[in-house]
Amino acid sequence: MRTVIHKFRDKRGKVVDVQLEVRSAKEYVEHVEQPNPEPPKKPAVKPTTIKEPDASV
Amino acid sequence: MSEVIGLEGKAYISEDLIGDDPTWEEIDIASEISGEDSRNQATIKDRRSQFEKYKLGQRVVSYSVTVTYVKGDEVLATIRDAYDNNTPIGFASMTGDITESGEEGFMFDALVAEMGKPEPFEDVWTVDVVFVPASTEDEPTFVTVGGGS
Repeated sequence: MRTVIHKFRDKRGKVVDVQLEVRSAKEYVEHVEQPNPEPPKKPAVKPTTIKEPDASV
Repeated sequence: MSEVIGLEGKAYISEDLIGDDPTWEEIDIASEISGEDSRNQATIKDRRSQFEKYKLGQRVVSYSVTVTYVKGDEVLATIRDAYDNNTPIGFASMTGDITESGEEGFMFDALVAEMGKPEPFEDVWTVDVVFVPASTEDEPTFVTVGGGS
């Protein structure tokens, strides 16, 4: 990308500077592509405690 | 992000080419603005596939602009001169005012390839102008208006 200064003339003849960011077709695609958001991190799975069967039963 | 409707969009021309310090003037007599943009296709036909497949070549771009025929309009006169003399001018199609930060568009050095003028009996005369990229040093480019004037 590069920046250039062009001019604009209105119907009354007034001329103002216009700053433009110039991109090639490839640069334009990269400019408008939205980055994929990172997926939310899953909470760590807590280990399940296995209860020993009640030996008295 | 925001949608754009045609009424908000603006087209511009410049007697100077896009690489020669252009001064843009709005084609405010424009109504319909239509951009064509496609790639040439080379067909692959063989027994490797049940499907016809393609490789793509160059982009083919043109802009059709319908303008109201206004006697004495300077912008129309500039377009007419470019057409009559086969000389390139700058062309830009923007999402809005070229002086407003954030507006974006496409600009290129253009030849005026067509200037058909239907002259209806009981309607306003219009001119159908077609701009095509000219063979100049600068490639067609996408632009975004930056900090403004």
